[in-house]
Amino acid sequence: MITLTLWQMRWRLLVVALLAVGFYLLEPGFHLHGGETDLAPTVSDPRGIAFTLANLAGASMLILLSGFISGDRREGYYRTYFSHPTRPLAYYGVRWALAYALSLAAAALFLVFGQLLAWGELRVGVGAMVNPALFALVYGGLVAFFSTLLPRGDSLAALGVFVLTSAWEYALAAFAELGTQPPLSPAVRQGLSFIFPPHLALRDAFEAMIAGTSPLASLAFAAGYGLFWLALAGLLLWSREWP
Amino acid sequence: MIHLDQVVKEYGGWLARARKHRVPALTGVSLNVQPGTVLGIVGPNGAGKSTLIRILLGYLRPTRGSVSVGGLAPRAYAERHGVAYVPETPAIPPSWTVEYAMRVYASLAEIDEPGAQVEAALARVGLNELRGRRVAALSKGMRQRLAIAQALLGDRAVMVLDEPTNGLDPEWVAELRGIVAEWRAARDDRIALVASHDLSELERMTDRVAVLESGALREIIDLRAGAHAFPPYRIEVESTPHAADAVRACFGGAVPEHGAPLQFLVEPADAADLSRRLGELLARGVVVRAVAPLRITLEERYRGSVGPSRGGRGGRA
Repeated sequence: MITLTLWQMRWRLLVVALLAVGFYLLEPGFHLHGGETDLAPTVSDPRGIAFTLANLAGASMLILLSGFISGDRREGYYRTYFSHPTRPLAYYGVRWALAYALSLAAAALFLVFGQLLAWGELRVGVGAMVNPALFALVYGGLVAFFSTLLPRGDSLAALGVFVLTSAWEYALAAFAELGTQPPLSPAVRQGLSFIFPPHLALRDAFEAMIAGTSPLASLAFAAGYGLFWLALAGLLLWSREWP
Repeated sequence: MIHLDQVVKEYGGWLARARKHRVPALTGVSLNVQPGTVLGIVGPNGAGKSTLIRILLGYLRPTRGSVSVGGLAPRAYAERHGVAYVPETPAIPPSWTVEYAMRVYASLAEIDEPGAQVEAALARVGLNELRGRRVAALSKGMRQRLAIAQALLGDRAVMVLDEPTNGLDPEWVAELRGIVAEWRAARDDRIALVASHDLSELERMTDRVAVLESGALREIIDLRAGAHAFPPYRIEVESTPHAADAVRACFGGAVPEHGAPLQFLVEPADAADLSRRLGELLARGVVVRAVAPLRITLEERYRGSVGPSRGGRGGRA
């Protein structure tokens, strides 16, 4: 089944490869020239490529999983699939896990070959894979949830969540620079930070790693967030009727 | 083997329930299908045939009542044993090739060495030569045959065919009949359910026919009952002097058909009796134009069950 699914994903994998090239060109850490000062640690520290790796892994999940449940439901492909002795939860679970493994593999290849191409040496180790592993889990969980819930547009919905979260993140940063708070009650701010994907938690984890303190709480929150949506997707898949 | 007890299915979620706008699809269907049976399912559009089939595959759950297949809930049965299923509209990803589709289905059917089974199934439906063709490039009938081929993978005890003759030409309709007969003959505990509007095909293919109307089971027609009884016959003779009298003399109780004075309904005891009486008739110089058995067709019985205005072949359930 895995070989057959890989063959099915071949064009999507090509898109992931092209995306990786794009991310390589956009990664600021790979294009630094001497004399640049006053840079954020995510740029100046080689470990900052973890954020680009995370974006690549998350985007890979969106590409590889787009319509993976919703398309089957909408088009009626499930009717012949699951008349055979196959559990939908197991079938889609394998597809999700395969997409996750491929996304991490794409990030790992990017990590190695990106460094060798840009710097001619490996400056960052496997620790940089923590962020992509969690980001792929978070966005993979969201796509799985949207794919069980919506008839189409699951990956677009997840991308929309990413854009909103980034906007929220920038807004918070802008207010922080101005030395004020957003015009929202603390409860609403907390609520939004809790509902949106844990970009800030991953940034906190990265900064904790740079500072040499324990990032476990932030990492656990990010992992829990992704697992929550994944579990909800599984529950919906198990409980919903097929059209 | 398949047991439905007072199965009710209503469509519409909690919002529809709150507004009392739920749409009833099945209204208390009870049915038992024993191993070794080929059961037809007929009914006008919207009678609940497709809903019944989806419940039997576990894709839908009954609102009330219980369903079991082989002693298990339908979904659990399909996940454990599989069901040979041909859906009403075969949906197979159009970018797949015939061979790739069969390999995927064989993998889902948990067949370890699928090569021989895939080849046999494709050969049976005449698609072996088209293994490399994309599904998008197949005609409707070929796609239907591919759906039949995937249903033949694995050793299943239950087959469900939903409008299986859709898109098939007459040659392949006859082949399908053969495929179902072979499949059934391979194991004596197998059950096939065939939902169709093609009543003449159902008559050839099935043992019993469940007639659904407005979500209720109206009747189960046993096509085997009376199959061995000797039927009445229609005899038509040439218009010669005393022909009608001769028929009446040879066949006691011959009844002339309304509006056709030279056509008679007769009820011989058996084939020997029919032959003897026909011999007498010919000996009297009567020229016999036609002799035909009269059997009540499934269509007539179906129309008697659901009424002439709702019967017929048009559309889908």
